[in-house]
Parts: sequence; structure tokens; C-alpha cells
Amino acid sequence: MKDSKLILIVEDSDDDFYATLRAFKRDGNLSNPLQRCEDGQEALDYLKEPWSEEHLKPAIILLDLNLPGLDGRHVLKKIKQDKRLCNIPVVVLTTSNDEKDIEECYELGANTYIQKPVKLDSLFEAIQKLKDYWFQIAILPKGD
Amino acid sequence: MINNIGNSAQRLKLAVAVVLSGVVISVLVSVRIWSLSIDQHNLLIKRTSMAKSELIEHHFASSMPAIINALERMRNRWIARKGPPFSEWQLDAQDYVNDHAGLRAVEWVNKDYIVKWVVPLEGNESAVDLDLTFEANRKHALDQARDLKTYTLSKPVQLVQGGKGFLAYFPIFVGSEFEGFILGVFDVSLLVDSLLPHKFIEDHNIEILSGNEVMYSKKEAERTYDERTGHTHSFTLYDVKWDIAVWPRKIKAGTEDSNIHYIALVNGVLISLLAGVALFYLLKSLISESIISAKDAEHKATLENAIDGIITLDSNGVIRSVNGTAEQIFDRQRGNLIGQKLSVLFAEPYKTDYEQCVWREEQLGEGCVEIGKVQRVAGMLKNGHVFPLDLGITTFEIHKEQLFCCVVKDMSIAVKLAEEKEKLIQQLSKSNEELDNFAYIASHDLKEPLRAIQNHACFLKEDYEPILGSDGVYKLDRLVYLGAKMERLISDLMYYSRLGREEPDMARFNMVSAIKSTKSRLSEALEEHNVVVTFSSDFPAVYGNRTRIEELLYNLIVNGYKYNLSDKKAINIRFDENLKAFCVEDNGIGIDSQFGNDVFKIFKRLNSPKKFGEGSGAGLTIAQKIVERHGGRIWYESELGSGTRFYFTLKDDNQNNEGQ
Repeated sequence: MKDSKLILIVEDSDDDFYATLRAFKRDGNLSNPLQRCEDGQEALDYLKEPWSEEHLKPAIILLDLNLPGLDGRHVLKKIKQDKRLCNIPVVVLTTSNDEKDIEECYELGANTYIQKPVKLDSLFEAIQKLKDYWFQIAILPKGD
Repeated sequence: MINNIGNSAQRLKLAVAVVLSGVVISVLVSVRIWSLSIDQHNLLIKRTSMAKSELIEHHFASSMPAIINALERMRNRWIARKGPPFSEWQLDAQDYVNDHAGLRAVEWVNKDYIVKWVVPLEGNESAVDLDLTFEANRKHALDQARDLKTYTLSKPVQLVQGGKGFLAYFPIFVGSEFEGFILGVFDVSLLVDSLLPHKFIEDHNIEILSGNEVMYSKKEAERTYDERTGHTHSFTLYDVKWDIAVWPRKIKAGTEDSNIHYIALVNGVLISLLAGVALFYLLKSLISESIISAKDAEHKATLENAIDGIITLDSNGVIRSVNGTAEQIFDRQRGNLIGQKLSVLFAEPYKTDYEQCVWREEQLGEGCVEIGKVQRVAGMLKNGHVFPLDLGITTFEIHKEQLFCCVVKDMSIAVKLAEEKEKLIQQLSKSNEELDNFAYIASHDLKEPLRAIQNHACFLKEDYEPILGSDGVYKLDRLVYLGAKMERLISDLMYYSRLGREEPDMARFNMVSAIKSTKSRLSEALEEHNVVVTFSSDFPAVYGNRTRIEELLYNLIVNGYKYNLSDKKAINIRFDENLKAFCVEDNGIGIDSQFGNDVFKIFKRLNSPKKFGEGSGAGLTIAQKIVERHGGRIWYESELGSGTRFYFTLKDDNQNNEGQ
């Protein structure tokens, strides 16, 4: 049965998106629908639309910080300030390990901060753990 | 002359020498005058003595022949009367005795040398019937007179009547018949006493000698003859040699006169000493004055040539004097400034401030500069050019008048330099910031495509491994490896640039605990490489960012065992009290001195990675950056083959305390 818990990935880099996607599909059975936005504006546009069968509310958002135009911090801020969206867990997945970025993201309401691992194996491992945690251990709020 | 001689101490010494020699010379002159005066005085006395002795001789020489003539006349009368009767002879003799004081007695001696008649009888009783042959001297004289038929004088003899004298024998021949002698007894004492008035002898000692026989002596026992004041006159009378010695009595030489000489001497010496003291003080005051005037000139020249402008104001803030530097600063002659208010030299708003300020020590701070402080004001030239000027005012009192001393300094160049420096610093820090940002952004942006390359290499390998074959797989692995290496370089670069940008949180912490936690972080690697890390327990308290200091230790420890071929790799951490520096010492391969500070250059590797393992070559660069960010210094001492000691200092704890 198709799981309706949508994973929203905000990632400008095709390569990174591909790697992340591959990591999610590594164990062969990704039942969740996936939605990709290539920049901040596109993500906000998606989140603005009313939810429907065709336009699912994301169960979790994977957010890159360095985005063209509106960057990830801005998107995170908008999400966390929006009553309609603030209960969606946001996982910041970024190359930066700058303490300032980490601190800022948590202040803005990020639920998790993950540095994109350098090695692919580590990325696979990280995504696997993320999947396990958010979709098997944690209980997410129900979609509308 | 005095002014030409060096310092005041030398001048004073010279003055003392002049005065002392003056006093010595003056005292010597006084003594000489005293001695000359005594000599002169003695000479005068000697002349008196000489005159007196000559006078005595003169009396001798004039009275002796008279007596001799008288006695000769008596003898001739005896011959003419062919023996006079005694009464007639007696009268005759008595007349002569009365007339001639030195003649003690006239006697008639018969042909048998026996005294028969004596006039006067009184006082001469012992001579009556005296046989004159009793004494050889007398007999010889009598014989000689009888034989020569002429009068003879005896040698000085002790008179039988007492006293000393001599005898004159006049042989009497009536026809050829010898009838004896007329004999005159000369008593020298009587002769002298009769010749000399009392006054004449009362202030002189007199001694008359004939041969060595003292014939007459009238002298004080305590005063012996003195050649300086006395005189001895010698003469011969009737073949007898006489010496008449005359010298002053004590009364004459007198204490009065000699006291005068001593008083004169003491007076002279005292005057010399007093004059010396007076002269010394005079010279001293002259020298002091010359020193004061020289100092005055020096002070004036110092003020005139001071680097800063100096302006003196009276109690109303009106200019009294201006030095040369102040003239130059304001480009005005002092003649135009003296008498004007200080405010004419300033531009607004200081011009008004200083026009209105109250020139009282305690009130000057209100609106103007406080006494003893320096204020930056705006100076103004005549042409209106305004320039920055530092002004400091002090106050002092002369003759109960409150004066003010203003020191002014043209700050145009200093201000311009400071502005330029500030501008350069701003430019430099901006450029540094840009560089840091650039390094961060560039390295960050480099990472993404790099990671993608690696990822795709991995995907390629996963998806197409059977098609690629072992050669293709090797090349893909190589691609991943090189990508990872570049990733590490970029990471280090990013980290390095972050160290430059961040302002680390500083705190005081214990070095031992920082070492312990670094050791535990490295525990696996240390075990793997067989490394023993030891450390001492006495470290000074450290003030810094603990995370960064641990990274510093981490880098130095890793460096210590990585480039180390010993079986038992040992690293020791301690604090060197002499160098006041932390020291991380290893027993590794050491660093060739030719590399110097190259070890601290980023990505600089001194050894082959194949031999000592991979590394980006940024460890020591990062260590250096951490030390520098803590205000310290890092350096090393090494001997090739026997290890390296890395030393580092951190900013002094006390300085940080002050800065907190």
C-alpha cells in the first residue's frame, strides 16, 4: 500500500538530489511519495497551495541551506512562522558544518541538522538512519 | 676668568686655593715684617750700646793721661824739692785724689818697695807699710820702672784695699839717687762710676775687661751679653788692652717693645686670616652669581629652543612671553603677540572658549583645559589656516603673581599620519575580511561539485562494475580517492579561514584537563602507533578558548608521533619556566634547520606521504594560527634524528585579566 507520507526535498543540486534519492531507495523499497523543489521560492510556492490528494502536505522536509535566490534559512523561517506549516519537521541537510549556521538553524526552529557526509557510504548511512527515525520511531503529526 | 673655568665645584676649589695662598703669603709677609722690625729695633739698641762703649773709652782715654800727668807732676815736684815734707806732699796728694775720681790713693814707696805714705789714709789702711815685693807682678813693674827710670803701669791687679785696678809707678831719682816711687792706685770701679752718670748706666749692663780679667761689672745676673743688641769696644791704652762690653738691661730691651712686635705680628696674621675669610666669601658669592647667571642663560636658551612652543601668560591670560618655537608654529613675531590674549591664536569654538575663560587655577577647567591636562584645540594662522594643536597649561607664582605656562604642539603632521594609519588599518582589515570570506565561500562552493564527482564515480562503479572490468574500477576508485584528498585540503582551508574570522570565547581553564581530554580523543591512534604521552602537573592557569587549545595540542601530538620512527614513541608536555612557554617535545625524526619556518606554511610537506602517511600539511599552520589568535608565539627547537621541541606562548593571564 502506498504510504501517503510525503517527503519534500528542497535541493538545488541535481547531483545531491540524485545522491539523496539513491540513498532513500538503497534498501529497494521507498514507499513514500517524494517531491523535489529546486529552490526556496519553489518550495514556498508548493507549501502555499491547499493540501489535496494530488497536493500532499509533506510529512517531513529535507532542506538544503545554500539555495539560489531565497536561501534555506529564509525558507525555514517562513515555515516555522506559518501556523499551517510549523508542525512539519524540518531536517536541515547541508554541506556547512559552521557552528553559526547550526546555531541559527536551531534558533529558527529546525528539528534536526545534518551535515551532508563527505563519503557516499556515510550519506547512505545517514539517510537510512533518518528514514528509520522519522518514519519508524518518531510519530509525525497527521496530515490534513 | 672664573666663567671660563668648568663647573662650579672647580671654580670653588680654585677660589679656596687663591684664598689659601693669599693668606699664607700674607702671614709670611707679616712674620717677615715682624722679624725685620725686631732686627731694626735691636740694631737701634746695638747702636746705643756702641755709643756708650765708645763714650766710656773716651772718658778712659781723656782721664787717664790727666791722672798720669798729675802724678808725674808730683814726682817732678819731689825731685825739685829734693824730698818734700810729708804735710806738703799730703796736701798735694789729697788735691789730686779729690780731683781725679778714678784715683783711689797716692802713695810714696821707699827704695825698698815698702809703702810709707798713703793719701788718703781712710780706706787704705791696709796699704800702709805694705811690702810690694809680696807679689811678682807688682815687683816686676817696680823693677822695670826703676830700671827704665820712667813710669810704668802695672797689669790689672786685685787691690789690697779691695776691688780691681792697676797701679802707676813713677820712679824718683834725685840726681842719681833713687828715692823710691810715687804710686797711683787706680780703682776701675771708682773711675767708671765717676765717669758715667747714673742715668747713663742704669739701663745698660756694662762689663770692662782687661785681657781676660773682669775689671768692672755692673750687670743683671739673668741677662748675658747678646751680640744682637750689645757691643764690645776694644782699645789699647798705655799698652793695656781694654774691652768694654755694653748691652741693654732688661728694662731697656723691655717687654713693652717686644710686645709691640708680637702684637703687630698677631695683628698681621689675624688681619690676613680675616681678609682670607672675607675674600673667600666674596669669591664664593661672585662664583654663585656667575653660576646663576650662566644657569639663567642656559634656561633661557633651553626654553627658546624647546621642541614645543612655550607661551607665558599673566594672571589675566595676556601673553607675556613667547619662545621661538611658538613663533614658528603660529608664524608670527613675538612682538605682535605679547600683550594680546591667548585666544587670538585659536580658531572657533576655542577662540570664544578661551576668551571667556576665567584665569584662575581652579576655574580654568570650566570651558578651557584643566591645569596639568592636555587639550586638542584648533590653532589658527594669520591667513586663517586652521590646524590641530595640543595645548597644556600649568601655573606657578612669581612675586605673588599667578602666571600660566602654555605648552603648544602643532599636531598637523601627527593627525594626518594617524588618519592615514587609521585608513590603512581599515583597508587592511577589510581586505583580510574579504580574503577570509573568499576562502570560506570558495572552499565551500568547491566542495559541492567535488562531492558530486565522487558520488557519481561511486554510482558508476555500483551500476556498471561488470561492464567496466577491473581496470575501469581501479580508475574509478582512484577518482574517489583523489576527490577525497581534495575534499580534505578544502576542509582544512575552510577551517583555517574560519580560525582567522572567528572571535573565540575565552575562559580560564586547566591545562592538565585540556591535555587529558585531547589524549582521550586520540587514545585509539596513540595505542595504534604505540605512543606514550606524558605531561607535568604544574602549568600556569591558561586563559583562552579551550576547544582551540585542544586542537593545538592535538595537532602537535599528532605531528609528534606521525613523523617518528622510534619503537617507543614518546611525547612530553610541560611548561618551561625559563622560556615562560609551553613545550611539546617528541623523540621523532626532527626537522632539518634549513626548513626554518617552512613547517608552518600551509600544505607544505617536508616528508614523503608514502613514508609517514597522508596528511593535508595544514596541522602546524592551524597550530600557528591558534597560537596567534591567542596573542602568543610558536617556534621549535630540533636536532635531526633526535626529536623536536615545539614551544608556544599564550597571552599573559594577567594582561587578560586587565582586559576583561
